[in-house]
Parts: sequence; C-alpha cells; structure tokens
Amino acid sequence: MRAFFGIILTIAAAIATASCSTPSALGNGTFNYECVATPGASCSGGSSIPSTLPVGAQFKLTYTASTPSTYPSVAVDPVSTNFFRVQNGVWTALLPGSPAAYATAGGLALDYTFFHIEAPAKADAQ
Amino acid sequence: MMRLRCALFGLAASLVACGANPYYGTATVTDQGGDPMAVINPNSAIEMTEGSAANADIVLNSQTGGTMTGDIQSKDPDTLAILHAPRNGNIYVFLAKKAGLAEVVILTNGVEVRSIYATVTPPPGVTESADAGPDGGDAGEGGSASDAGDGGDVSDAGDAATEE
Repeated sequence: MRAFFGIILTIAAAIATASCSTPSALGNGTFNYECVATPGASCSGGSSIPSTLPVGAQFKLTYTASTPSTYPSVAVDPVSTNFFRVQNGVWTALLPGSPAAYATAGGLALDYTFFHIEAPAKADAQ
Repeated sequence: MMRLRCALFGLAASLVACGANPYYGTATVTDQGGDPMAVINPNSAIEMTEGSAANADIVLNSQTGGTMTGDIQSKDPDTLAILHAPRNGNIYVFLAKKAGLAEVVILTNGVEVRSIYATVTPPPGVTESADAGPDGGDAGEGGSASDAGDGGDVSDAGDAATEE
C-alpha cells in the first residue's frame, strides 16, 4: 500500500514539475518564464511560457540544464532581435509571429523553444 | 630531399586540382525538429524563416557510402547560426537570426568540400518597413535579401562542388 501511494506521489510530483516549466526542443533542460508585465492584463500563472503572448509583453527567461553541474553558466538569447528586445534581463515582445529563443553554454546549443506572439487584441490575457 | 619536395609539390597540386576532398558524397538528414516549415538539406537547400530554429541529425557520407568525420558551418552566423548540440556531434541546431543569405559549408578533414547558400526569409506578414522597425538599421537586411541576385554564385558554387 505504501508503495502504491509512493508511486502516486511520484507521478503527481512529476506532473507538477512539468506544469511549472516549459519543455524544450532538445530535451536538455527547461526554460523558466517569469512574467514582468502583460499589456491589458495582470501577470499570473507559473513559470511556463504562455501559449500566446501579446506584442509588448515583458518577461524574464532563464534555462536550467538537466545537468546543471555540467553547464553551470547558460546564456539565453532570442534567435532574432527583431522579435525581442532584451534589456537588463527583461525581454519585450516586439512583433507578432512564432520566434524562438535558445540556450547556449560553452559554444553548444543546449536547447531552444518557441513563442507565439500576437497583436494585443488577439492574444490571451496571461 | 628533391624527391620529398616533388612528392609534397605533387600532393599540394593534386589537392588544388581537386579543389577539396574528392571522396565526400552526400549528407544524410534525419530526425529534423523545430520549425516544421524549415528546409534542412545541405545537399540542395536550406530555407528558414527569420526568428525560427530547427535541429537535425546530419551524417556526412563518402562517395562509397561510408560515414565521414566532418562539420557543417555557417560563414554568415549573424544571418544563420549553426551550432552543435551536446553529446551527439551529429545534431546541428540552425538559428535563423535575420533575413538574407548565408553561406553554409561542409568540411571533412578540415577541408571545405561543399558550399551552399541558405536562405532566411522575413517573417510572414512582416513588411519591409516593419522588419526594419525595431532598430531601424535592419533596413539594410532587405539589401542583403535583395542580394539574391548573387544566387548565381550560389548555384555556381553548387555545380563546382558537384563536379568534385
């Protein structure tokens, strides 16, 4: 019986962890999203990247490698600076589209993930 | 001593004559991920949309079908960056940084054996003026894209490589 509850708790913990961060394309870790400001809405939710973001949304984005000891220092950057402006660690969405952000360490591409940015009227309030 | 010089001269001359390693054949691309619209084929075309990312497992093959050690690199990383993923050296990550053309080269044993121009197109629905919007100076990127006239060089390069 204890084993059964142990399994249930393990599964629940895994689900909870998964829902609090954004899975990445290469599966080497997770992107962590933190809302700073969303036009026309208040910040809410966890550390997952929202399904859509309005132009003008501001957030912070970090990456945690699956093996942090191997990659203690990870840089996260937008693929195109036409889609995002990054100042003092705060990202601002500039254009509608589906741009990507990527994480690098030691010259290697650890991972990347996509955003879906829409004009403010169309985007879900996050 | 004279023989050694002749041998070295002959080796250098043969390398120059061949232009590159003559044994490279094709690249095999599998397990492409990321942007589903991206075309990742170092044999014929690489096409991506600005801002997108894709990855693929790419193996370099000799003309006899054997696997070759080598690398795929971008000579214009500000337009299209190509990075390796951890653990598996055959997994390449393609990052379309800005619209324009980027020369992508395949190297085996440190020798450039093939060259192809990758195309990074502006995001759909983004007009040139909007593309140039965020930092103004990017209007010049349109210039790069309009340099597609240089595509003649691209196909020329491809032909030359095919002849190897």
